[in-house]
Amino acid sequence: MDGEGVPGMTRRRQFAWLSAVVGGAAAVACGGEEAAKPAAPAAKAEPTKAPEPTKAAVAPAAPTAAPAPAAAPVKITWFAGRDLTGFSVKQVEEFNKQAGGKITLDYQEQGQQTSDLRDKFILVANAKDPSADVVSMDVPFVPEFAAAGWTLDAEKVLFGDDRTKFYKGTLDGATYLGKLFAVPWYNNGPGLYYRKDLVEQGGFKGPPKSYDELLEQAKKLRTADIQGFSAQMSQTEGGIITWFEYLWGHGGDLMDEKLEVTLDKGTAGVDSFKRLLAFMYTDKILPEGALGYKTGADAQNPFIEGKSVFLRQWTSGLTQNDRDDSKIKGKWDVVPLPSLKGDKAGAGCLGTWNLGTSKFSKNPDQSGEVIRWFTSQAQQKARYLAMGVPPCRPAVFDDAEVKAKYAFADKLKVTFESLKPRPVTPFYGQMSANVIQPVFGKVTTRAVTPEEGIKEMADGMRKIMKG
Amino acid sequence: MNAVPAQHPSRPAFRKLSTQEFLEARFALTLIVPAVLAITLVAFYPLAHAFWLSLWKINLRFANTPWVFLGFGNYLDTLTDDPRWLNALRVTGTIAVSSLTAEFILGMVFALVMNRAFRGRGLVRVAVLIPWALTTVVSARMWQVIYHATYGVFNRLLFDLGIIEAYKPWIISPIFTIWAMVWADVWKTTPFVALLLTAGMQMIPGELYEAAAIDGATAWDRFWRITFPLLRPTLLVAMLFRMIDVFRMLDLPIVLTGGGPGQATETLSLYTYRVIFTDLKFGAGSALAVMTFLVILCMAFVFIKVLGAPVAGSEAEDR
Amino acid sequence: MGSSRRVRPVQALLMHLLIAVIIIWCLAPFYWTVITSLKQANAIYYSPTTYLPNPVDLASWIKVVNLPRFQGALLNSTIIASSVTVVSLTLGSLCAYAIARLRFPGKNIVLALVLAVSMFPGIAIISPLYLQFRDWELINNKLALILPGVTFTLPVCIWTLTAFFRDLPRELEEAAYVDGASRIQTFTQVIGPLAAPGVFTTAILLFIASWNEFLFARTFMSKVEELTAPVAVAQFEGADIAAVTPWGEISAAAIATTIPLVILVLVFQRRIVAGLTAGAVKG
Repeated sequence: MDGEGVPGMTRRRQFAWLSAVVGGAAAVACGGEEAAKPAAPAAKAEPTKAPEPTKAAVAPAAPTAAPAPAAAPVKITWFAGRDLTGFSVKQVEEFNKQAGGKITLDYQEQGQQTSDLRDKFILVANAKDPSADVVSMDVPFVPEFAAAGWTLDAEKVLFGDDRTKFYKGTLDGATYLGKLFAVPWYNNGPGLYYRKDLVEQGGFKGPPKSYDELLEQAKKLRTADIQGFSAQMSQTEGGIITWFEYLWGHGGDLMDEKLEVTLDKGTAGVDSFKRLLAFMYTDKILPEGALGYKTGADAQNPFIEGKSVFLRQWTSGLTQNDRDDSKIKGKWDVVPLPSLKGDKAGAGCLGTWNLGTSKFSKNPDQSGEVIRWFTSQAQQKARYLAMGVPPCRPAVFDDAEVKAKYAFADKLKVTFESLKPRPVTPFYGQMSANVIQPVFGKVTTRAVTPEEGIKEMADGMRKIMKG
Repeated sequence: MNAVPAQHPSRPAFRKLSTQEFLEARFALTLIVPAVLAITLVAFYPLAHAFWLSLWKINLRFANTPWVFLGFGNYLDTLTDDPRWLNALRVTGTIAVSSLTAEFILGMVFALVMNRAFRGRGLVRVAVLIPWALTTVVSARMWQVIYHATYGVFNRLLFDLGIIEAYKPWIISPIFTIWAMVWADVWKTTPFVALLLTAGMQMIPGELYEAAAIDGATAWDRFWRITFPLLRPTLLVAMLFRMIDVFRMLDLPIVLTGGGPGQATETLSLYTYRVIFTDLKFGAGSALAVMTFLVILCMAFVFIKVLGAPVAGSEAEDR
Repeated sequence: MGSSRRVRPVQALLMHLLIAVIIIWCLAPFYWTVITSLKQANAIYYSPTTYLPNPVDLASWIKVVNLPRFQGALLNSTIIASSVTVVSLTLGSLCAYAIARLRFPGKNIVLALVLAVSMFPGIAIISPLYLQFRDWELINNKLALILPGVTFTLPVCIWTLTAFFRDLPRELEEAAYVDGASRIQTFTQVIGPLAAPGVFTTAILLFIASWNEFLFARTFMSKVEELTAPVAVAQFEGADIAAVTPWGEISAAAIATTIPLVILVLVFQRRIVAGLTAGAVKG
């Protein structure tokens, strides 16, 4: 609204003017919501002609344009995390085209890592600053932001029948104290990427199913030039998730369902750390450079360059394997993560991203429109088809077009039913930033032993839970 | 500056009339008011406010959490039960000692070279000014690229020279990271120190050296007997400000290492910043901030009053 | 030290070697960043890395320079640093003149205040300033950076200018008084022009200092359009949504941010050195 940073008076006057305009627009939009509802069933009837009903969802705001000639489009700012696929930008263009001058969506990425977005939104929300409207949220942000009173509930954004169309796990992840605070936007879970050709040449029957098999194959297949395994191991949210999956795989967890810290009960914590450390320092299948992989993409880069046999990466990265400059086109495949004994798929972390509305947004209704559009069946499908970012609506996997494009769609559909969330508590963000990530950093760089690390981590988490 | 002779109280134009003195003082105060006001409103008032905040438990993380008055509770908590603060103190102290030592040794060498007349002085001056003028954030980014575990030139260089056998993640290592950071800091600040020392050296009268040379003093003797003692005031001032800079250090760790690995490079300022803006504990964070300020104040006191660093304003100026 | 003594060839060689080492030491990281910014996107991710960009590729530069956010950041920094410089100079020169030339009670208190501010860690006042600016709706407003910017540059400004004012011959002012000029006239018409070089030198120092400010800029500006150059560089995430950390673009952004400063250094090196040492070293 005030992109030029108009100082002082002008700015305030602008706000007053804007809120008047917005007030009018919001009133119309509320009426529009009713109109949007009947449009939804239409989408159900003809799932293949998806774009039309979504256009209808935006369209109800249209009548405002005619009577108010000078009505500038309402600017909605979207605080987003880093989109590795580049599709969001295109989708935003599409949205702006369809919104026909009623809403201008301004897409703003807030930095490379998940924590950058969180830090930034915390600053904005604390300032009660209306410069963010829609905000992308990783699963742990939902309870954190909701408890802080920084986000509006999404009860009116996603309602009724529509709720049944999502994976229950993703909705649970967007719920705090029984209320929905965001709408699941895209789904993410990990997979073990591997080089079909190399595994075959090595004489293995198939990709590894257990941790020991992973080690064995990686050790055998790596060369001076090709690393055995790649995974994000930096002191970041992504890095600790890599470890969580091994922690869960060894039968441990951070907290139980009553949110009591159970990390230091049993040996899973220590064992999982020891396994990762062995991968890196003893068996050397994972290079020390992995400590510097700050994003999943950094971990995936060697794989795409043909310099890694195995890779733990989010399934949202799958299509990157076939990008133009990829050296492994047609030579890769993906399977569920390995597990301790190899008898079942390894536990993967739920990495859903959700869209919510900032409490300090001046245009909550238009923000809701934006969220509804982006989380619709049509757009989730479009996103999946274009970039391979999996949907939060299982029905998308059954879509004929999707099935034709992705041979693994069925496999993913099932995988996403069993992803494991990180602890659902408003304290998680703080625990992660202040305790889990630093201690993870200390253990993985061998500044402390796994035993010391687990103790420090568990103690630190308990201290934070006490408030 | 000393070229201006001290005013003589007997100077007639100013001495005769006390109204003259009054008018002069009034004029002076008018000139000073705006600056003093700016300093008071944007530095001293907030400092008092920070102290006030530090007496409360303030958590902006949860909606409508009331403020709780703690008195000096935040201070006590930090002093008695905060390993992270101790760690930050240790990190900051380590950087201060090692960084300053390296800077002043190197800076002295630079200054001795720069103080000589030679062709291409301009070039050296530009070269030396560039690290000084660079934004710290930018230099942090540069070193990030240089130190990179896989693509970094530092690894390549050491490897080619046969110093290391395998590439090392320099800024993700509990041992090396802090030294990598100190190195980056030394690179950026040595020029500043060198410039100050050069300026100090130029104020030393050449006759002293000539006399010493006649007495047969070696270069080494001349340095320790003449240059060093006469440079002492300059050294002290420069050291004080560099020391303070280390206690303010935030941008270098935040960009270069993020305070990691673990908390191996989390400085006092970075820790304080995170308590305030990531944890949103404004009370506890303000207490940390006030404590940092007190530490700096103590250091300044030691430097100025005990060691006698002649900082502007530390002594009566206009006697 | 005295330069009249006989210099032996070995010493001379050593001297030149040292000079070369100093220049390389100072410029090597800068040089490397330039090289990185000129490499082809893929070449940056070669391991081992190559010492030269081959072929030279301007892609990173083109991307960064054309990035509206980055252009905006440079503009913001220019506006803020210039405003800070002007305001700080105005307040500072008045104060410095009074300190250098006039007698008044409490001068030492003023000097002590200025000294104290120069030692202030920004972190000490950031929490109250944040709460205050939040209440005044100054978050994402350039004033939120200009206000503390002025305060924190004032000490350097006052010291440097005081030193310059003191070096001016006193007789001229006295002559002006004798001619019946008022104090203000003396200040603006006699001292002003004489002090211009000093003021200019100070301006350069202030501009560089406020251009480089990071703590407040990071905290008080959250909107992408309002970021300053250093914060933009710190948070730089690449022009297009590339898959990996775009080191080439980061390097280009880092160098681009530095260009204004390097130009200042190249053109005004003597003045900068004079200014730096005038404020900090007392004879």
